[in-house]
Amino acid sequence: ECAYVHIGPNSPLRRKACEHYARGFCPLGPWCKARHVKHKVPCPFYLAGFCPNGRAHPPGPDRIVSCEFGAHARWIRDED
Amino acid sequence: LATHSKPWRLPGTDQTDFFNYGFDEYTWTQYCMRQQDMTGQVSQMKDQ
Repeated sequence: ECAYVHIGPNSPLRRKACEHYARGFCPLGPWCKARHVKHKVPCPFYLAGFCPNGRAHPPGPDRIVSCEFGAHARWIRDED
Repeated sequence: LATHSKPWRLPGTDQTDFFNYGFDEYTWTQYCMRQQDMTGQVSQMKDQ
């Protein structure tokens, strides 16, 4: 048995994460071609402006860091 | 983009397909407004 994780070529895990969804909202919803990485709650400290856990954990596939208090929802200046 | 037809309002749709971090239509707009206020305030503080 191979010790590595095998991800099939057509697996949804291979699609890149949706940057709009990572920001918080994607108007395409379930029709979006990119993968929507779901986070439960935003980190209240990051939301207020600063969270010391920013570098404590490696970022997820959508480059969003999640600490024990929630996800660090990165705000990108509006393009909508 | 389908922002004006608001497909997430249709019955039976999963809100989390559209909104991340447990946002909904209203809290998301609130969040956007607050972020814009924050960036304005921060740039003012930098000017001082």
